[in-house]
Amino acid sequence: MEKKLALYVCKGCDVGASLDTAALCALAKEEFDLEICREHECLCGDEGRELIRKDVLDGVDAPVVAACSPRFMADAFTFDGCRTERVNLREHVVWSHEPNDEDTQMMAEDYVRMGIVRAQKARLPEPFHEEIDDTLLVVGGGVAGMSAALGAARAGQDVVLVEKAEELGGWMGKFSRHVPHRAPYREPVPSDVDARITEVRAESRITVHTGTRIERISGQPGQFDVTLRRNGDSSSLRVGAIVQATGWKPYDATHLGHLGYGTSPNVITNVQMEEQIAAGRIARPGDGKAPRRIAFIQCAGSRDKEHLPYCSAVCCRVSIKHALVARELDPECEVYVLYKDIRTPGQYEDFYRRAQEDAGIFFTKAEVEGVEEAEGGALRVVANNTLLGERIHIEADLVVLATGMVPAAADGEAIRRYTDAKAVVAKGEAGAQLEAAKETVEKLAHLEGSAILNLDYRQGPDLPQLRYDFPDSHFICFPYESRRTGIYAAGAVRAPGDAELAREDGAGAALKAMQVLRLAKDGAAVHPRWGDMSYPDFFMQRCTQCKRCTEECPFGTLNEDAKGTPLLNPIRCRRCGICLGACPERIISFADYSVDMISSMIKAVHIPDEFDEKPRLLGLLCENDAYPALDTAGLARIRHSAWIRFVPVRCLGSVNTVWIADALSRGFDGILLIGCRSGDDYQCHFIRGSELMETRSGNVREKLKQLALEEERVRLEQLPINEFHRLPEIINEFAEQIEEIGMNPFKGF
Amino acid sequence: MAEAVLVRPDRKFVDEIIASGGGDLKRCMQCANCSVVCELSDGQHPFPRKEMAWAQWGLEDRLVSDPDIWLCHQCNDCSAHCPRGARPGDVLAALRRHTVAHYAIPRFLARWVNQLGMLPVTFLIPVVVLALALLARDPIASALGLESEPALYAEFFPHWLLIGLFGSLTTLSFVLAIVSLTRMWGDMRAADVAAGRYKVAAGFLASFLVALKSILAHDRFGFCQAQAPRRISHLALFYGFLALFVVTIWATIDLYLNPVLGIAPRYPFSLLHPMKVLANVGGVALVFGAVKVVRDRSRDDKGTPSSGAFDWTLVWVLLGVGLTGFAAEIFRFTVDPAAGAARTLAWSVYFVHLVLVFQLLVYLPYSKFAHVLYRTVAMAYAEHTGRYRPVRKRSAGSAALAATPARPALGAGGS
Amino acid sequence: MSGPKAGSTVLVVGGGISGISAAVEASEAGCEVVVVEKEAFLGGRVARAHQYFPKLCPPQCGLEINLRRFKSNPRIRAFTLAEVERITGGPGDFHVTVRQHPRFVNEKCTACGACVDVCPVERPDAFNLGMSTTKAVYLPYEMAYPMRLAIDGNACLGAECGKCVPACPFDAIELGMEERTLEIDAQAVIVATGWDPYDASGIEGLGFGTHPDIVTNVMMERLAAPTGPTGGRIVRPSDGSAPGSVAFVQCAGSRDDNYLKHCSGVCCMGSLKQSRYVREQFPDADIWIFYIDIRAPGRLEDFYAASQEDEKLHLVKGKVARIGPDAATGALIVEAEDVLSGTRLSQAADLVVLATGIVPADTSGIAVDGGLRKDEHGFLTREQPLEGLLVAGCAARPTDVATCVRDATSAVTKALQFCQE
Repeated sequence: MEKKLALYVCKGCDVGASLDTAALCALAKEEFDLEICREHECLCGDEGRELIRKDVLDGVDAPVVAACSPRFMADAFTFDGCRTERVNLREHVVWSHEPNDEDTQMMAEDYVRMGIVRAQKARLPEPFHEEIDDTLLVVGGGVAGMSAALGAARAGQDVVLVEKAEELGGWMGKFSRHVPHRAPYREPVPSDVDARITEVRAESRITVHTGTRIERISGQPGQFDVTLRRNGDSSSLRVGAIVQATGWKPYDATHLGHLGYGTSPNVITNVQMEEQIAAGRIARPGDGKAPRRIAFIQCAGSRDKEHLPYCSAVCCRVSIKHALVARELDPECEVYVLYKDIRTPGQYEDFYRRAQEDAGIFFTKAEVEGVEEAEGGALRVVANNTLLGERIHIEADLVVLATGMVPAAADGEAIRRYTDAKAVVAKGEAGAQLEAAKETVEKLAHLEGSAILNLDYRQGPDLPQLRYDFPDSHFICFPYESRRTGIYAAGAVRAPGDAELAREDGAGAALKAMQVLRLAKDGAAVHPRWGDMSYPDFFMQRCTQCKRCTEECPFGTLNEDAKGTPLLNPIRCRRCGICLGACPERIISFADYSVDMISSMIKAVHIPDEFDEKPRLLGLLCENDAYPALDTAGLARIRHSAWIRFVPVRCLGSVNTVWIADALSRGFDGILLIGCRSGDDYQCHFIRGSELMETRSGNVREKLKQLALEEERVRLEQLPINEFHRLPEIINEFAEQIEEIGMNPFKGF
Repeated sequence: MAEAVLVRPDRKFVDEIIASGGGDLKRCMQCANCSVVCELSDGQHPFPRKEMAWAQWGLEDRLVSDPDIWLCHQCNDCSAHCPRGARPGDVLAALRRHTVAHYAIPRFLARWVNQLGMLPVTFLIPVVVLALALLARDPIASALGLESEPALYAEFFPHWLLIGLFGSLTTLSFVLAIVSLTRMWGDMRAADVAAGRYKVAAGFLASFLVALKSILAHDRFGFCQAQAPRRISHLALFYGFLALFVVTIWATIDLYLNPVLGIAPRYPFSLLHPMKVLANVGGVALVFGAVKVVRDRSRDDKGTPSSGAFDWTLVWVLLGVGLTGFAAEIFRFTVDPAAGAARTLAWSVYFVHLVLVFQLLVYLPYSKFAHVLYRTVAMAYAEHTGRYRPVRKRSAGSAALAATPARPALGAGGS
Repeated sequence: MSGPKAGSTVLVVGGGISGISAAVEASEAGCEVVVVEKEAFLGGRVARAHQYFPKLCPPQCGLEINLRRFKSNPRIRAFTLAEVERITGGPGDFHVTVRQHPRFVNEKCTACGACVDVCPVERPDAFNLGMSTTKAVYLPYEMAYPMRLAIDGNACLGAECGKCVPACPFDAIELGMEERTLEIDAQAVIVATGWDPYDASGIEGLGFGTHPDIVTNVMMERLAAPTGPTGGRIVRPSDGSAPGSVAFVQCAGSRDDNYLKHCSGVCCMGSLKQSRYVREQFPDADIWIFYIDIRAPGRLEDFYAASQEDEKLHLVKGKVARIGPDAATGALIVEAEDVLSGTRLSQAADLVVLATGIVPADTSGIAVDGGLRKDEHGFLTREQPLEGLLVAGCAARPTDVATCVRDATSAVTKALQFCQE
């Protein structure tokens, strides 16, 4: 059905005073023969909105509002049953350019053209409708897992809780005394894990499978088909979302020979200490005698480049707990704590205070060099940089190594590299590829059978790792961001932390899981493009099975069939459009975002011929950070070159290089791509957007060379949102550079 | 690399320090706030932070041979500002008390003198000794053919007996004290040598003179913030005691040396005699000082030091000596030397006075009074080894230190 | 089907990162949400920060996304310049009284700024902690939400001036606007009132307020921020010159029985982060961090380890007890003992940054049946006498942003229990 467009130009906020708005309407009439083109002093006011609403009632279904940035007055310009196109005349044109100037006017006209074209091309997305299963699968029955299960169940969710051990409770369940997590933060408290287990067992909405592992998980959020395995026999069920709370394992102390572990029976780990405490008596494994002097070595393996570079966050509090309990069990004993830094944040400082009040507990900062056996079965701890002198040694009957936490996770992406390599080796076709594959297989052999979730995902059977094997979120503001939509890590598996954090984290992850299900029912996306109903549509006839989309999707949305044809799982999709940018055949499009749409917008820009001395630059702008930055620069009335025309994109990763080619052949003189920071501390909300664009623009530069065009004509910039004042500088500087280089020779062709 | 020294935590020692005024010792988290707020602490050997660490671990040897615990005047600025309420000032006081006992010969005396429980015994000793002296008075007198002196007290306790008894006993305890102090000096020296930092900066005598000068001026007290008033109390006590001591010596000279030199003894001095005046002024100062100390130590704020038997005994004895001294003096001018109830009263007051003086002088190396000796020696040692510099004015000193760029804390916090 | 019953409402007290997160998460879980924020904008403390550790990324990045979710979500209502006065009722059935202070600018405002040009009154800019000024009619900051101006009732001359009223093309200014009270029913309440920086002027010896070049860590964030009073240039407030050396003083009030007994949890990372600000602008500056213990839990240790590579960053274990100008040179002197070498150190520094701690924001104005339960440090305890009253973020304990957001999210899960049929 033919769309009915109408243009509305707002004259408020200096727009009317700086532009010939009548000319904009005229342009819409002449070039696009729009019947309805109206100007108004204040469109966002009641009267202005009424004006548009009336037209909508009379059949206008694609109003184009040329006013302020779409980031403002969103609800003012929302009308039922139609998609409002916003043209940003305020921030991007009049507030950032010379008023009543020819170039400013031309800019406004181009933006109106692009807006109208976009309105023509974009459709209101029709959401997919899929059968959604409501059940939540929680993997891991420790503190985090049980908290997730209880949280969800009490919020009305059906939960399946799977634990590989025969008992619920995890590590904390094995520990009889816990660090206090409530005021007063002073005394070790009895474990409350049994109480939790009872609650879980009592909760009718929770089905518990102990002694059970995950054999396979396929599908997508709302439609995960799970195969469970319990001693030999498999069973299957369907769930909607997954919380991975597989917890942690103690760092393998056999690597800590220099601290006497393995060489002396009287050097134990803090986990062994927990076992002794649970047993109610502390004894030297060597001779079963009660130790008179117990030395705790903090950061045993943690904060150590050779072992675990990170701090395990809980060991200080745990050793303080052990010290207090040891003194309680045997008031005669002495406890020495050798620390690098005492880390008891927040109110936990009181717990440290409490231990200090005990005359039998001795603290000192120390860099422990080693532990050796001294005469009479005693142990000698040699330490440096202590508060008691440069280099000292202390004698102890029992040494406790405060070993750190290692996540009980599997590196999905690594496992995938391993299995791919194995496949290559199996095929056995000679060549460099085979050699590389053999190497990989060797290097990653330890990953054999390490998978936990066993996801049937093209990009690997488990969550991708962030660092040190923790499948954590990279985002400070969004700690539950997951690269596998509908699957959330919680508790110690995601980051070292205490039971309290695990409890909170489990509950939080449960919420995210519930949200996915809710949104999936409406066919809507989750954060960051919350509520987006559009999803990628593949024109399969033209697919060449190049696998770029399946490789580059940051969220593992696409699987492949044997031939490498992409298989879409729309509910996994986050609508970033990276697949659209990746596809060389340009067969992927969204209802309101497509290769054709952006190309047409680019082509809609009026290119003056080279003798007008008016270069034209195309700016492809990340709508998450760069676009708001440009708005803010406008708000601050900072001016930028009027040569440039900006097109917002969902993410730089969604930029298809054909747009660049189109722009150049159309006569644009330069192309500026502005996205978020890439690299280790990337700020791209879609993980790899700007990184992918970097590689692609590399190829583009190659193309430019072939066309005998200067590669400086395409520039990639990364800009944090708060550095909005730099954006105009970047634009102006680029404009000058292009002026130096000269006009695009393809102009007019 | 340096040979690792064995560190043996001594729980008993820790408990003792905790029991004797250092109750909050273990709360210390080694932030070193104390070493900086302390105006007496010096740039190269700041205290009391390191002493707190050693004390927490019960490292007795290091502490008894540490001159810094004596360079502390318990201003308690550290205690007032301690983030953990560990009261370093009181801990150092407890350490000093322990050190006195550690070096005392015989040790048990030091323990007795400072234990409330042993108070009866420590009083009984002088009573018995003086009683015996009285019994022996007449036999000795007749044996030596001394005729009794007509004066009120001399008749009761003749000067030859008084001087003979106190002279000998005090000398004895002083000789023992000197042995103790020599041992401490040796230990301090040994510790510095072991740490490879022993060096002689000033001559032995010169060091003592500097220390003495500083003591006479009470200049270090002047840097106290939280405890500023203590300087006055201590000055009063100090000079009051000194005056009385001088008068006593002079009286002895006047009694026994002058006749030999053919000078007519003036003793007993008239009220207007310079020596009498000095004595009275000194007595007043002593009483005033003692009373003020009691008040200083009874205040209730973070700056006020915690006080135990160790501290109180000395204060009360000083006060007692002053008061009984005045009482005795008044009787001297009012009571008829001939027999009578008044005379008995005067004699008994005088007896008590003597008991207290005994406490003060004979017990000196064992009681808190010992600090006059130990602190003097420690200050001299510090001067001798160039450890103790008179505290520099903050900014100037800061500038000096700042000029030498402080070392980037060998990768402090180190991982 | 699961999820909250239709129309069930979660009321969120506080519009900082915890409150915003709680609001967004609750709404996306199907609840109606009301946010009550006492300031004129959302974002609270993080809006004032320059960068987050350890990524050194701008808070506005996450705020933009969150506020976009906010704007596009009809289930969220936010009241700024509003405070909760009373909470009555119980789980599943709370009645909340909200006092809405006048903004004097209505919804018609487009943030065009015409009024600002004519306003004759300057006032200290609270957003920049008084280090700059704004007009009495002001936009809280460049990326504020709501993107509307506000008038400072205390500074504004009122009707007799009234220059702004005709200046506004959209008659958005209502100098006669009055305080009003709202009654809101909610199934659950999430208290995310956040924190305030500890008042450094109360700390003996550290000299805050006696010398312009002794600043706090929150001031440092503004000094480094492009939207700050210096446009992001770190300078000595005394003379606007570039500091050649900067000293960071950890535990300025925290871990101290005389001031704040608790550890504020984030100041170590905060100063390590701010030392990067300094390093970025002054490659040769000497930077000093005086600390008791460096607390960089978890993977944050990486950031600490990387900082130790910086040869001109000097980490000194030793609490600073005194800061003051040198009588001779006038230079600021920071005094501490370097515990590891056992020597006393008086370090001259051009700029001194006090790592002041986190104090729970004052909630005494909120009358609650049964009262709000606090621990001895003044933080709200997780379990409150009134069930269904949930606590999230720094109101419960001093912590970093990521933990606040997790907190907020889990609080919503608990809130959902009270939104069931």
